[in-house]
Amino acid sequence: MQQRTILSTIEGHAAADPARVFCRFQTGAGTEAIGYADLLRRAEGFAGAFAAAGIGRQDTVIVILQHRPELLYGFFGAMRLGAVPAFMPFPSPKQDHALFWSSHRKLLALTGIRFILTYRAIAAGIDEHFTGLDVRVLYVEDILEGLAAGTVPPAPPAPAIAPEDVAFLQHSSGTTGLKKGVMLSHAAVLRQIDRYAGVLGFGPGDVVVSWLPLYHDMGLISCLMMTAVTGAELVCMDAFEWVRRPTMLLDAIEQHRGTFAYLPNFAFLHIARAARPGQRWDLGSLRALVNCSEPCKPQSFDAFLAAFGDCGIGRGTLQVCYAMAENVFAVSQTTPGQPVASLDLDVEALESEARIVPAAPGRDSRQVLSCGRPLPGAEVRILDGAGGDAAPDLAGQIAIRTDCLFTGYNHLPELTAEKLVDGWYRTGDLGFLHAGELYVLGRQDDLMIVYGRNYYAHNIEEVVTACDGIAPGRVVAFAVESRQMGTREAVVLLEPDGTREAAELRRAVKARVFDVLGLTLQHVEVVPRNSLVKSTAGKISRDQNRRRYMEERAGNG
Amino acid sequence: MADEESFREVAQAIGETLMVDPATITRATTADDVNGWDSVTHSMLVMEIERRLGIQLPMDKVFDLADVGELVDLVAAARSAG
Repeated sequence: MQQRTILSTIEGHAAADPARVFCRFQTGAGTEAIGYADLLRRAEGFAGAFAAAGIGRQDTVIVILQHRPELLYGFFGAMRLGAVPAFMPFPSPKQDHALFWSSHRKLLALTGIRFILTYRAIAAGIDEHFTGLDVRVLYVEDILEGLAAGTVPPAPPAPAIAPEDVAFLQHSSGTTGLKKGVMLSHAAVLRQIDRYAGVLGFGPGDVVVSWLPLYHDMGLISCLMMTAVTGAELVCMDAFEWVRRPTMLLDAIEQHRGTFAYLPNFAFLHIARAARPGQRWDLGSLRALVNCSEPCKPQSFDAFLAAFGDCGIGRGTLQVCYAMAENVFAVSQTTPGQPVASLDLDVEALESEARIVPAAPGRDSRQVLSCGRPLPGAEVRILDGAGGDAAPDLAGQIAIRTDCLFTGYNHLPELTAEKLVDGWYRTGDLGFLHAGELYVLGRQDDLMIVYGRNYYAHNIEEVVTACDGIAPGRVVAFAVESRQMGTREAVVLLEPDGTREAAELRRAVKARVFDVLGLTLQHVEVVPRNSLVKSTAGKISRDQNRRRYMEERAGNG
Repeated sequence: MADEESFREVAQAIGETLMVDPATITRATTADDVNGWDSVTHSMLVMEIERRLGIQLPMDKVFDLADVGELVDLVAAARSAG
């Protein structure tokens, strides 16, 4: 008997009901309904073109495409051959394309990845960036033309795929060259979805509405994979379009009777602000709007309910999930239909000793939302600084052991060994357990989450340091909380070397970071020479500079 | 005149959305010159301008502007068309 894989489950849905809709793919041109059977047929066509280009079992194929249905056909077409697809971000219109492609060289050289699927239209001169590497770029335009003309040979018979084979890669944050490819097996993905769907009561009758990009774990797993594996329906829209018109998500929920949507914290505020007075939607079909990917704030839920509380949703609709690519997705989840628990913690005890103490009346307090109970099969430990179990009333690093952990980081065995110790994955997140529920407080390292996307401060500093006009090594990057936006904002402070005017330098730094990382720095300050604070070890201190920056900002505002 | 009024409205909206002093905004100001101006706050700014003036700005153009001057021209055109 054939062992269960992601594709075999999709084949099962198509066979059971050939007319079943898999995805309503919204673009500026309209909405295209793609059935499960259509998906397989179109993926088969792409698989033929891929095989003709030399792609075979276990070859990685990087998919860099805009929000169009070919995204899905390319991804599942590679999977059909037993190859390993990986979505990666498409450059924004304002990004420098030459820099975008050259930044992929390091990743390709490190990992030996040989295949890229993209558009001819954005790849002018692409080969120059990959000279000396055995890289083949495939163009969607050519494949579609070949398929229309009937010149694409049929795909070879499907190879036998074992459940432990890697199904796809999910790339982490960082400059492209330093991105970590999280390897996820068919078995891990299917186990995660079986368990997670069980907790949510998610099944074939559900409709997920999403604006999330597919290179991000929330879009890829909670929307695309959850739908495909369970036989549900996905309504997806372009992230760029959604940012411009956030209420289009509500339009789609109302029109298609959406039952689930996933949003990073900032998105709750962005949608709530966009609604015009008197505008109303019927959101009564929703079973859960899940806040995930960046610290979840009670204020975001409050603002959302203030705007849409009379549209058929209540506090029990707004839920929280704690997830990461290394575990495929969810580690813990609150219970749909029930209001999310929260705790008011004493700020001083938390900040000075990482101690979890309920705030007494009159004390400074911080309200923290629960991320729910660990999924069945997931064990959670809170570690102290020495790697042992932290005392029950202390916060510490969250470590997890589950039956759906990643296979490792692609071509990074040392990093895999550092993060996966005795079957436990050390998340780098700080948190604690209370009454069986997990609470997440922040990060232990310099990871900053901006609009739900992850960036490392040291990466940003490296990119900024490479700009002309900056005193060597005199740069610091950190994030500050923006209550207004419901996310964190990226700040860079830099000391000039005197060769460039401050306004020009700020523009150059913002442009460089945007081109290389796709991140818009919200604040770039050119500060006087020798004003950045160094730690006792002689390194520029992120913590101290951040604290001083916050004090100065508070003083000015 | 209409241009000057459009400029004033746009500068006020920028001030409110991005929490900066509107007096620091000129036609030559770019998003890179103003702290906090990113794609999400830009869309908030567009919504704020539309709300203030009761106009609709063309989606294809309003996210592809070089500076505040071009935004003001777009606003002025939308107002005269309306």
